[in-house]
Amino acid sequence: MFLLLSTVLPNVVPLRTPVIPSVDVVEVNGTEVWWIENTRSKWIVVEDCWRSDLLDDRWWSLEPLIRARLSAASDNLMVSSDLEWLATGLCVRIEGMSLSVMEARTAYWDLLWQPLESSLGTTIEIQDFRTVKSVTLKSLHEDWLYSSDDETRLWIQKRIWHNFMLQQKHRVVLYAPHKPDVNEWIPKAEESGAVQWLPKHQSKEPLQGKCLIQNTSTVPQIAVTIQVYFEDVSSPQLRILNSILGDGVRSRLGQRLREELGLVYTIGSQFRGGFIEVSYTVAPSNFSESLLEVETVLHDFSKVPPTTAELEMARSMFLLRQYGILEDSSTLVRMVGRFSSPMGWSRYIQSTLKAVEQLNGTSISISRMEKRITGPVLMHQLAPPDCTVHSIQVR
Amino acid sequence: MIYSYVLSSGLTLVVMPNYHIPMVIIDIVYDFDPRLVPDGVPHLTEHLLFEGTANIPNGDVDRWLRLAGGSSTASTTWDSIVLHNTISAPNIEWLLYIESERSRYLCDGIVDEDIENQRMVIANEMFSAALQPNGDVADRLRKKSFTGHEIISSEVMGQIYDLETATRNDICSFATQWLQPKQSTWIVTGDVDVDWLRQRLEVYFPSIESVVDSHVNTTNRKPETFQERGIPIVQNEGHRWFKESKQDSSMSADRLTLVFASPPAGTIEESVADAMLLSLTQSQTWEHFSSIDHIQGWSENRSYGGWMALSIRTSHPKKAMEELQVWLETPQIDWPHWDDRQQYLVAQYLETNNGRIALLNGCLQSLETSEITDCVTWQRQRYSGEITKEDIDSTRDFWDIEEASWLWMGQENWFDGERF
Repeated sequence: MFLLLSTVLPNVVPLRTPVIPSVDVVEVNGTEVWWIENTRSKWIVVEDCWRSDLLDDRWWSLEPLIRARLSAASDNLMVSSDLEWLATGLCVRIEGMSLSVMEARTAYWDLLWQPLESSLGTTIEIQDFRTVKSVTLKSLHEDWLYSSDDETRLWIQKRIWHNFMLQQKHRVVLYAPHKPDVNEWIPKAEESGAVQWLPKHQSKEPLQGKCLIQNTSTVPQIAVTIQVYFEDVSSPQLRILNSILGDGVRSRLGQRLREELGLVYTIGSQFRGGFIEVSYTVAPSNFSESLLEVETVLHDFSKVPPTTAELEMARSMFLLRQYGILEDSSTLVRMVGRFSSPMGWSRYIQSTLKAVEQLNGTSISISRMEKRITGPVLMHQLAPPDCTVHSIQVR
Repeated sequence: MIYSYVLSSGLTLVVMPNYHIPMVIIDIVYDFDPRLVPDGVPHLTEHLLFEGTANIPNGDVDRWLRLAGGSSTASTTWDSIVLHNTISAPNIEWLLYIESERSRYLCDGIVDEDIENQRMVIANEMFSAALQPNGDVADRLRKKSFTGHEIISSEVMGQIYDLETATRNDICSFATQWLQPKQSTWIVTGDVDVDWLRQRLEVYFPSIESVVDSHVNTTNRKPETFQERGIPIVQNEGHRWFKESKQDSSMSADRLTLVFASPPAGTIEESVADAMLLSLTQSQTWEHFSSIDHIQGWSENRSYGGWMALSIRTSHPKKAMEELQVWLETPQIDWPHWDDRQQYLVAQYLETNNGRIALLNGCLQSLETSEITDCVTWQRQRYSGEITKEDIDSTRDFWDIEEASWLWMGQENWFDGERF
């Protein structure tokens, strides 16, 4: 058997670090245009992002309104569009073949910049909060729990819309064969005079330590979200830890809770910038045991630091994802646009790879773990699950 | 450029190189005849493909692939197991080795503990699906709507009873008969040397009579049409079902689901039906229906037909069906626009390896193996020819509402349906 392995299997060839495309930056009247040259097709992706310091969670209430406008903006079958909310603003991404994108973008702008008043107070479906993309579900869910009534929300929408339009910082990320004439790529926004200022920091009860439970009678299943906070949230080491912790069925969480104990079907973790989020769904009967097991896996990072093999796998998976980003033009534009400078992404890759090397044989400190349990929890007759805050200190 | 081969082992190889990034994607489709396998065994076997083989210890499939910059996932349909593999180009041989192990030595690596573990994992999978709001409705509709068709109505996931009774022998028999090169189609795209790959596959999957005991057709692996194989076309059965929806849940809404048999893959009727289905799901279409709030649709198709469904959110199902009937009699489809849309989709698919795999998968359902090299052209020209009135009329035969099966999920049993 071993003879077969040694003769058949080659050595693993380490993945090389991908070559990051250069980004040309042009600035016109405070708007940045970032251009990435597309040398392989006539495909164009353009993303317009608006950012503002005035945002708060209530921005999510604009989601259905803007999405509805976008879906009505263009019947051009040669393009597709995507709306994405950020912590600091929103981005509209349009992609397709050459000229069609330009035409569609004009149509989108025309509709986005129409006064909002005509849409308010009519038929905005607040219920749609719970049907949007999963990446935004958590925030929407929290917002929904803490909102008071719909009328208030609609009124707020109107104010923050106008506020936003005046405070915007506009950036365009463009993936296209030819460098654009920036004057053509920055349409003029019409400013509305109906401005009402929002306080910069809205008073809202902090969620730390809260256990969010939504009772429904239709889903006898518990969606668990556990957020784990760290002392240094910007450390690239956290991305590696996240990969080892919850990336795939052979990650520590997947191996323990799915493969060994059979408590769950899918479980994983995501790096959310300020924290790592463990998420899974579980039968009520397995709920308590699953929580204990997740905690045990987290604690074990201090006893069993990442092995060389785990770090190598994390490195490979990290690079695999970067290649995936490079290949998918839409994702490329999104990722490049998310970093604060054109060089940000390159530095991010380099620093993460460096973290892989440095982590070898060392522990990762988990300064604080905080459980928040969100999502539908079934059966009113069930006693509320143990939802107290657990703080752990691992060195 | 697309290359297509049938190797000496009977393995069908379809390759569309793409040298943009140093990655390779390999989808492997193992076809099986669900009439000849115990319920639930294909799905259980699919899970065990990730546990280990005679020469690969438990769990190392995933670990090896990760080290080599790759990943592997799988799914099971009613007549196939589909493996979706990604690997960094320099390490492609790792994947060839793993797949040869899975195909040839899976049974020798299975231990009872693995079977027990995966039974629990699948039980959780079934539990998750069943407990989502309407999470298992689509799969149940497929099985219940076409009970006269022993293939499309087959049990894919298996029930708990099937899982409990499946034995190691069942799994080994399945693997020995169906996880074989002659049953497999490899769909490959990415940074790959086609000639090299072909040669290595001949090494990893030799034509071994002891393993492949049937006659291997080395010119065309799929010579039989569905008629020759004795598989009837899927027919509508006109069932009427009722499922009471929960009023206190925001996740559920009154919903009418109509299930139709679909035209066989590769026919002009399939293309027209596809366009009708997608048109109906566009808001521009259903916004004109006064009694319909929203329409979703889906379809699965094979050479002997398949099924398609419309899920309609409405509080007035009778009126909704009247409005739908009117549309179906004279479907308003702008064919030049539809052609534009197809050009867009093909261009988008060609941008990425995953998109190319999707294009090839679509072609493999509709074209003969020997025609796959024309896949991109076929996809581009699907709607560019003139769609005749006869084409539309013959397609409308499949959209007969009366013959379709209905599932009404609401408060009142409008159609006097059986409990679903």
